[in-house]
Amino acid sequence: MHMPSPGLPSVESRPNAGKWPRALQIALRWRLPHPRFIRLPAPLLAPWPALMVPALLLVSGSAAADTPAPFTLGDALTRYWIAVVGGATVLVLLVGLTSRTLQLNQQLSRANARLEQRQQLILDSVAEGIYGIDRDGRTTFANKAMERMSGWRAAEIIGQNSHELLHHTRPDGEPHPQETCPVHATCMDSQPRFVDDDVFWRRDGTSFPVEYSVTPLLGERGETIGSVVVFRNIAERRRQAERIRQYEVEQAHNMRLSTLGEMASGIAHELNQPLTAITTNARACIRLIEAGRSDAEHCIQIVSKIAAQAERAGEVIRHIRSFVRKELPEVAPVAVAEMFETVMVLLGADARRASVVLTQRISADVDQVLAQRTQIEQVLLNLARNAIEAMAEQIGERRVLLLARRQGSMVEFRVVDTGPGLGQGSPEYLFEAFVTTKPQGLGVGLSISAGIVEAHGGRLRADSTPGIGATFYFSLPCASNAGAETMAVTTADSEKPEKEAVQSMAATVDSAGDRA
Amino acid sequence: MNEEPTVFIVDDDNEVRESIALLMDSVGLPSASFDSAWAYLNCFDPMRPGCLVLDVRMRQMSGLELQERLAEEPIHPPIIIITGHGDVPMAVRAVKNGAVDFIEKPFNDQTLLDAVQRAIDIDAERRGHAAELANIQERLERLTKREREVLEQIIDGKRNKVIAADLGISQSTVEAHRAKVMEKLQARSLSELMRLMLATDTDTARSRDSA
Repeated sequence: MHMPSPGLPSVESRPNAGKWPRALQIALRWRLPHPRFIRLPAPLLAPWPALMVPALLLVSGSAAADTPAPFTLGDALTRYWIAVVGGATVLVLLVGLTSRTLQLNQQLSRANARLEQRQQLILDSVAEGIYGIDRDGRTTFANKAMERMSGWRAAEIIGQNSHELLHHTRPDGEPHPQETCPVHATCMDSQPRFVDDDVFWRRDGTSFPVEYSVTPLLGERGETIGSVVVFRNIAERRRQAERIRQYEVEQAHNMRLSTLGEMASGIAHELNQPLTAITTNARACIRLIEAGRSDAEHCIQIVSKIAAQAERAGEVIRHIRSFVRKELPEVAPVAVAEMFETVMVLLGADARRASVVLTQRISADVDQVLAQRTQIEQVLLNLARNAIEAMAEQIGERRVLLLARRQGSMVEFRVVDTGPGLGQGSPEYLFEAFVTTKPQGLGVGLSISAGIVEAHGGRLRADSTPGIGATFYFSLPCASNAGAETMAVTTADSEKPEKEAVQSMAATVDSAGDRA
Repeated sequence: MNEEPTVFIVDDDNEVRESIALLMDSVGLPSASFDSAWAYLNCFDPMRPGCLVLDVRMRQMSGLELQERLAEEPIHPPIIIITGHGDVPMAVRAVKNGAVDFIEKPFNDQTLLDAVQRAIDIDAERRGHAAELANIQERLERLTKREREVLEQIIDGKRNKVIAADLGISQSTVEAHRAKVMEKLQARSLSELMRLMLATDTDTARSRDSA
């Protein structure tokens, strides 16, 4: 039954044999790995004391008994072989477990290193610049994109105050104190923030436009230990937006030029009238003077008329020039009466040629709206021209009314006609490009108009009753809310259907006709 | 019939209308202004001599429409079309409908005054002719049925004997009718009678064509 343990020396008999258990003890201790290092699950650890204690007790107990008979190693082995075998088994197990633990530890640290590397790779492969700061504003880390965009090496800025390096000056050149910096504020109140219009400064002293988000960085106990900033250079996007804006300005301008071109003959007529009156009056005046049939007073009267007509021609030119002027798409307060006037002047001749009575009506409490003037003029012009063209084949009354009335803080614009209506076509196709009922039409007028109204935050809508007429309408915000107290009056007025308005308008015109 | 010719001005532009009226006044021509085709039609009096200065582009009824309407009247003042944007089809239409002139705005004062003068002359001529026609017509209506039959035969160049045979009356009766016809139509000779009858013939022929 001798089972010499591989870990024990095979000595037969020694006087200091009683020391072996101690040596074993030491060996066992020495073999014991550091408990913090092993981190074995509790159930595996539990049997150790249970095995150790009886073995040690047995060994120490034998050492304590002082008997005269010689006690050889053979005796000891015979007597304590169970403990020896047990101890050896434990030792083997320990060695196995230790090497396994070491192996696992190695794997763990390798995995850790890989993870860290991957984390850095991910950070570095992101196109956005990312950096972190602690509560004192010192940079804690920065990714490659951040290095690329700012011109700073991560090693140079880690530990430095990021606000003073990156964010020291506002876009307008004013100094930017750290107390008002959103990144800093997030460190203080733990609220995430998003800023879409700011600049960061490069190492070389130049700046670039950025948008960025700041998220609080939380510690183990949930306390804010800093913040992480993710930012993006928006210079290219800005340039693109600027290009699109330029293109839109250009397109709107071309559109107005082509509209004006289509109306050229009407406008020529509008200029011809005052010119005819001027030349004819001037010639008549000369003839009267030559014939000695005119006194100074009469002459002054005629020359005053000539001056007034020259001013009338000038007014037409002024409207044309303002209409074709390239305008930045900026919203500004503009008088409704001014816009209606442009439409009346530019379309007056076309309306007369088509035997259409073109009138305008502005409620007393309507003054200015917030709009891009030429664009809204273009919409009104498009709608009124459509209305005039729609009635070209019509027998009976032909009227177009431009209407502006107050609705709360908005002004509603209506272009009302007495035409055939919009027909059977579904209204949702009405505002799409290249949908037209006109033989010569491209079908872009309404879609462009709808686009302009949409850009103003409104919507172009249409109502129609077959055989009665069509109404196109949209709303724009008032430039001031000064007329708010007259709202009640307006609402009462706006209840009045436009058909009635057209009729009352018709009555006025008819009575004028009768007078002549 | 001896009323002074008036220049009728139809233009919906107050200033243009007034300036033309002033120009007419400066050369001593009386004028009457209307701001629409309807206003003119409401006051239209075929007996008033003169001419019509007419703008094309007007509300409700255009100048060309007014011109077409006037063409249906037996007599109306000659028309001068003035327009701010004349094109060939418009000019053709205007002239086909009998416009005497087609003037583009802004015009030279002398051009308009010449046109007006020409139109007034044409009107006077037309009215003179019409008056003569009316006179002959009036004389023709005094004839009896038998006298008219005899007149027709005379115009056809038949001799009294043939006429008597055709109508189944005596030759002396034909001679009596013939004398009566010459007296009633105030014709001193056969050639004068023929000229009167030719004038009425061309007139009836023209009205048939236009119908």
